[in-house]
Amino acid sequence: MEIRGKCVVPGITKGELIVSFEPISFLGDIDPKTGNIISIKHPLKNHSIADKIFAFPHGKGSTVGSYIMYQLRKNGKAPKAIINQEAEAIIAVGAIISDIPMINGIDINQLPHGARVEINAEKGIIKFL
Amino acid sequence: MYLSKEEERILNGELGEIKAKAIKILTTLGDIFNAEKLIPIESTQISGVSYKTIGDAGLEFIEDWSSAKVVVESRMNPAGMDLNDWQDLGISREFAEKQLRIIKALTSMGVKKSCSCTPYHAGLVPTRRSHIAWSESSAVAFANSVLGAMTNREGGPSALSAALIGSTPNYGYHLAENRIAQMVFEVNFNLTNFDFTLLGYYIGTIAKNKIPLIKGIKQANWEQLKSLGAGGAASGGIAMYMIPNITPECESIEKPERIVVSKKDLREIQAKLSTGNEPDIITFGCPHCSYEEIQEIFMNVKTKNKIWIYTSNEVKERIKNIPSNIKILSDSCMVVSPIKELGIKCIATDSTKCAHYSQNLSQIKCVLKSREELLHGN
Repeated sequence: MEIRGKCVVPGITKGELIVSFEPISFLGDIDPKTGNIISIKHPLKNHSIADKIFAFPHGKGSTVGSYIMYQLRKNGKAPKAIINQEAEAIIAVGAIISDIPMINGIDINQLPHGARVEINAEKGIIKFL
Repeated sequence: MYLSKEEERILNGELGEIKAKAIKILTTLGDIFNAEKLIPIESTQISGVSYKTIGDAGLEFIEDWSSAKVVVESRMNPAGMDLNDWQDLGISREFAEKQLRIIKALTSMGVKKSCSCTPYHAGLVPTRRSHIAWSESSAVAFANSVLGAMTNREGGPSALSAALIGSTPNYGYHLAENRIAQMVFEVNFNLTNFDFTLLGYYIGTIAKNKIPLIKGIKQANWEQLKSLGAGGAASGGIAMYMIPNITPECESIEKPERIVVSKKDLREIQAKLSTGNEPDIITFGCPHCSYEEIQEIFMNVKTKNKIWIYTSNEVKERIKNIPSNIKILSDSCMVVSPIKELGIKCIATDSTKCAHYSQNLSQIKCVLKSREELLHGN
């Protein structure tokens, strides 16, 4: 089975889905050193987004979030790809400067947490393995 | 999105990897917000300059991009400290070194070392209908509303990208059809100087990121309009407001929602934002003071308590005969500097924006009062 969205940043990769139904503020929600979700209230607290396919509805909060994504990349803790339902500036900019493949326009509810998927971001395709 | 041949070449990396990334940011934002093309801009104002705000992540990013050059007049938002007087203030050497690295990297890109949230008090006054890419929220509100220039609320990286390419995606406030008020606020009493910041904050909590049209204000100077916009941009996401016979643009949709503002609404905002009793220091300059405001403070000051006034470097250079209890600080402000680390637990301010962010970002207490009351030591 595959789902189609729209390309924001091209790239091909595969990996395990981590799905957050909460919008994400990279500043404050994610530790740039470990890639762990650190927001106290988040249901996936202490889970890592490093080397995962990170799906969430959209970004929120400070525009510094783009820089946190860049730092995750430099620390080797960036997600392999990002999937958004409704892309906005902070996450899109962060994905571009950090070379993280990104697909937009996906209904997050269709994505089972923990599933293995293959991403072809240029074509906007998510394929379940 | 339509791209010219030259823009295609930049996207393909002919001017280097950094400019390719910069234009990719602009075109991606254009795609997200349905812009048809990029449009040329006259200037940029870049936020995310303070090391306190952007940390090591932002520092690394700006240094990695520092070999590229801006192609339009570009200025910086306030930094985390006065770039010259930081040692006197007790800023740590580690903080100062990192802050100075950020400034050095931006300066080497051609961004003018003028760190201010009020560039229009410091020689950069965009003309009416000119397109600009500014990011500091109160400066955006001022440019759109008072000057009639056209800008979206940019983030740090998108403003920097616009500076490197000289253009911005044509959407939002760059399009005349979006510059129409969606709500009307009615003020049926005379506003004091101090009421402008309270009114702005109140309107922002209700209008969020819509354009409000404010009726009942007979006259207002630049400083009052600056306070109004800063309050609305801090509590909501106001990027533009309209006032009949005062702002160059003033048009609303048919049958907008109407809200009557009372004096009580404004006093409630003041009470909500006043969380402290004994300020360690009185601060002015959120947003940065103009030359005229500082002269007026000097003329009216009665209190002997310590006062810090934040302004641009351009204004600071013109200030003479400073009263002994007053310190003039440039390039920075109480919101983006590590004020808590300097041992300050409570500040007095006449700005709702300052009160809002001091509590949220710096976790210090605030006394919010009128400038007149603070200068008289009440």
